[in-house]
Amino acid sequence: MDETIEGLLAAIEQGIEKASTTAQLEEVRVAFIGRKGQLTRAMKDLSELSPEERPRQGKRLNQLRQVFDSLYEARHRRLAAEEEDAQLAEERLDMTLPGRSPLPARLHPVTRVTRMLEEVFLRMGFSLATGPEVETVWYNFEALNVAEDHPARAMQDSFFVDLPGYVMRTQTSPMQIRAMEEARGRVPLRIISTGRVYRRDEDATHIPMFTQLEALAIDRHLGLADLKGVLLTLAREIFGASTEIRLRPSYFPFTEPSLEVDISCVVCGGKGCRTCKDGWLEILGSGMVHPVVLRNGGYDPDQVNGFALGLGIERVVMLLYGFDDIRLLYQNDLGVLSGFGDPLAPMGSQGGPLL
Amino acid sequence: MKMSYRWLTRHLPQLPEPAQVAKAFVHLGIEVAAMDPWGLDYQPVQLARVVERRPHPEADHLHLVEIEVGADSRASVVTGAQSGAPGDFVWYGPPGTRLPDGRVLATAEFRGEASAGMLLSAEELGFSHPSDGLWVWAGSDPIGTSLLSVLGGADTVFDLELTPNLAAFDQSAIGLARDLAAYFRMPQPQLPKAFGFGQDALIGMVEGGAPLYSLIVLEVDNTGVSPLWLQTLLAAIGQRAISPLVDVTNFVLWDLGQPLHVFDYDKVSLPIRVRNAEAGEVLVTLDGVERRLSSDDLIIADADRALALAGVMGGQASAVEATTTRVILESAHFDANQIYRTLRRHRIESDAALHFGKGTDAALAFNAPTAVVEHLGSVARARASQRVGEVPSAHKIAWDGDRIRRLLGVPWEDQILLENLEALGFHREAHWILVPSYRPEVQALHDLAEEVLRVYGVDRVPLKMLSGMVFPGHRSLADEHWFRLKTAWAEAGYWEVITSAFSAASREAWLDPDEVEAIAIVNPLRPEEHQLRRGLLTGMLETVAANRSRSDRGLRLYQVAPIFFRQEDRPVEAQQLVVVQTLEEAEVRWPKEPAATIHDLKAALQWVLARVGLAEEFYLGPSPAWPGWAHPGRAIAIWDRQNRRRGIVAELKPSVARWFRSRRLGVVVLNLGDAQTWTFKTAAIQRPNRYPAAVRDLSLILPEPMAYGDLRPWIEEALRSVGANLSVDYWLADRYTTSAHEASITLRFVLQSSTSTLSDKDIVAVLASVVTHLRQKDVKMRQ
Repeated sequence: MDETIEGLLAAIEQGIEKASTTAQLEEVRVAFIGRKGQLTRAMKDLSELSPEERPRQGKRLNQLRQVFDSLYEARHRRLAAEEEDAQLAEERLDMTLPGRSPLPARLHPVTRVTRMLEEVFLRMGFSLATGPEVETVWYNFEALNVAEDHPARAMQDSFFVDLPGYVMRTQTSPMQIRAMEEARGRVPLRIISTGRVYRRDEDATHIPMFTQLEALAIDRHLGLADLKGVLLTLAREIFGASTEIRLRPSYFPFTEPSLEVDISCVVCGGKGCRTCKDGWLEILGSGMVHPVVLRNGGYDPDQVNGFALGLGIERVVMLLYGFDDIRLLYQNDLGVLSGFGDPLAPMGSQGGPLL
Repeated sequence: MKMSYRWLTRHLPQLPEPAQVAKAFVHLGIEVAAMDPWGLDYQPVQLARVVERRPHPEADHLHLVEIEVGADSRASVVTGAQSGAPGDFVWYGPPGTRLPDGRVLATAEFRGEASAGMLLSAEELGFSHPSDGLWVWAGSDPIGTSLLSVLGGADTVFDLELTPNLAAFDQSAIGLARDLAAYFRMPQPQLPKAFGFGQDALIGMVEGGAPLYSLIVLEVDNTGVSPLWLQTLLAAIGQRAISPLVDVTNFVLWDLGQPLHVFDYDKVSLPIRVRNAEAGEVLVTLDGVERRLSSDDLIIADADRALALAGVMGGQASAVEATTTRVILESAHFDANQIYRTLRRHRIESDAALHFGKGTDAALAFNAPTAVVEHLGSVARARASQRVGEVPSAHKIAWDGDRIRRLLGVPWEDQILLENLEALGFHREAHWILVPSYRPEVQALHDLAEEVLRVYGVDRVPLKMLSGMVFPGHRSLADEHWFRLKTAWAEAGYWEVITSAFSAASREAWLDPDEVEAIAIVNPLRPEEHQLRRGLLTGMLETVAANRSRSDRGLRLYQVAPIFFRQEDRPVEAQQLVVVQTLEEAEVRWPKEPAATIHDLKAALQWVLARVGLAEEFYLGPSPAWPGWAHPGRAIAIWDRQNRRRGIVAELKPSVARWFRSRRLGVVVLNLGDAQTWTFKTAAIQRPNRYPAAVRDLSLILPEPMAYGDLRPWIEEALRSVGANLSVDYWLADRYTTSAHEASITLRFVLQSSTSTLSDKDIVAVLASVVTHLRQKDVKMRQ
């Protein structure tokens, strides 16, 4: 028996050593520890030994089995690794080839910037209202202190429709009156409205259909100073914390005093460049709501004041993304639309308090 | 509007330099579009003395002239002019001189003789002078004097943009000077005194549109030229000198803001009447246009006929000519609204109309003639005059400083408010503020607040932030819905586009004709935009075509926007969703993208509706009829819960798709209706089920015309009839067509209980019910 065990040890070592594939190694495993393997048989043969001899040989065979297992494991690990390496080498790909890109899409940049502007006002406590694009002449003009012969009607050349008393709204300002009527004299009233408006005008900076944001606030103790605070907040939330504003007296029939609002140039920071010339960019119109307009909305101008502002959203899109032809926005060229990433200026004010 | 800096200094001699003035304009709310130097082109033009003049050897009509241009400096020029005898002083433009007409002088050769620049006529230099030919200078200026220095040196011209409220009083040098005087705290400029009118019977009836009216008969010598200083100022603002009479009235217009008109005395039969035109009355205006008048037009007439459109434009028949020696000068104040209506009705944007139409200073009507007579000097003498009407006394506003402070949100004391108003020419008298006649549009306290703000400065207003009660802002429900819907489509990989609301009947003709009546645009920019869109589909497909003309990439586009139509005399706006998708292999590209199918588009719609919680608001199903553009075998209708057809998912007929540069196009059209009525269902969140699921496949054969979707209600009914407490999910696992009339499908059922592991008995009961129900509907089971 001792010789058999010695012989088995040598045969195991040699067999495992000689196996050059995992398949051959498997044959070796079957030959020794398979059901009819040599080691298995030697184990079975133990029963024929004397009771004295049996424990000693049994122990030796168990040791031999442990040797087999460890040799086998080591050899198998190595052969498997070699075979995987060979297999992977076969599967090599040209990793410079293109794959299929994901195909997500985005909202139109005007929709996105509209939403961004709305959020700024919602955070300041303004609620959003919407209204019709084919508007009555009363809401679009007369209620806003623009009588039929008022030169301001020529300022914004309107599209007329074949329905008596209606016009394509030239501004979102009619929503001022609609919101006031709905509020029935309640204060404070703070609303914004966004939507398409229409004017007979077309060049690199004007298109017949564009998008406006209107804001209106009415309260008992509300002055132009509050408007100034809201304007500065708006400018900084949209264009960044270092943005400054400049207010210039201007004229709109529905506000008095009226102010034209400039922001410090987003390109040069206010030093003066090709985009801005003098460091300032005209961005929106605003003012204190005209007493006639307050009255038309059902408010008493002796009791309350209001401010309003109107902003061309495409203008903000153009400034945020740095291009100067508004028509690009509405050619709906997928190449152009997919080029609009996230706006250049980070949203949100990182600056200190305004006041 | 253009205004010269030098002109402004006539009213404000202490005016600071132009850059400061420009800043002041911006501060006052007057936009400075441009600020340009004027006159620099006159710098090189020099006074020269003619030394010698001899005929050109080769040309009869030319002369060679030797000129002295400075000490020991001479030049030879060729001239065609007969004037400029030896000893005369003439204006010489050396090579490099730029003339007002844009020509740049050079050394040129005329029939073999070199000419270094040119001797110039007044006309070539942009001025008028009585003699033709060279501008022979009568002054005592020395040789070498620059023309620019004779003109008073360089000037600066502001190009100003006036808002309508400012146009009422800032459309003149004196108006602008008044604003600047307030800003720089200088004394207000003064108007000339009122003209001493006589009592001659020149004026007949005057109707309401002309509160103030005056006429002066002048004897004039209109053959000379205006003084150079006056010509220079007019030239700076782009006005060309014509004759003393025209130049002076023009000057007074831009200096004081009062339009004036001159009739030829001999072509008019006095007295003059100011009246409304008779409807249909005809007048040929100075621009040669025959105008049919409205009864709302105010006219100047004599006994026989209309002479002029009051305040807008004179008539050709009574126009002054070069030889006229007796004229009637008209100076009046007209109602701004009336003039504005006439201006618009006849589309005449004359300088007079643009002044009167925006509002003028009533006091000017009787004061401006003084300036005219003064500037004409010896050229004219007044022979008769008459005025009608009285300048109204100053308008008064009750003073309330608190009200102004509240409106502006400022702590400024009365003293500050009043100082700024007084600087503009307003006066306080007891509890009243007296408004000067040149500010007729200032009517109430908020107007005064605006004036204070313009002068004192918006910059001085403190910064506040919406004090008072604060409430959170919120969106409207409808807005939130539209936005979720848009966002979901973008998440699904569809790009939002925004197309024009304008369309044309011809562009929409391929759609089904006229289900609803379009709203027409009365004044479209282009014929192809003469009405409002009744659907988004045309614009969307045109967008596809435009993109495909640039690139053959696959397109997935959508839009949610209003469509417009009319119901009797009222407009209706309704929100519509349109999605378009190309259903063909896109551009040649590796690795290949499989072409999308109409089923993919339908699945996207269902995904989006589920995503926004509307899966139960709309369902898909067959329709008795399809629009003419839809592929009848590849269309399915969208129905709402009330079983109203709301839209369609369909392929376009290939013949229609081709118009839009595509072989196959899928579209979704969904009339969204009123979002307020929608009920949103969001799925409840459930714990993960820890009991194993049983998976069973059923293979079926569907005979024609049975559709896959027909199975759904039958299966639902089968599951209900078992009533087992388990969840059953099933889907199409495989499908192939066995013949033209049969499709073989495999359904995979996944059964699971939330309370126990399912037994075979449970599973068999469910499937047996399904099989039984389907067999009743003639569905065959495949072995």
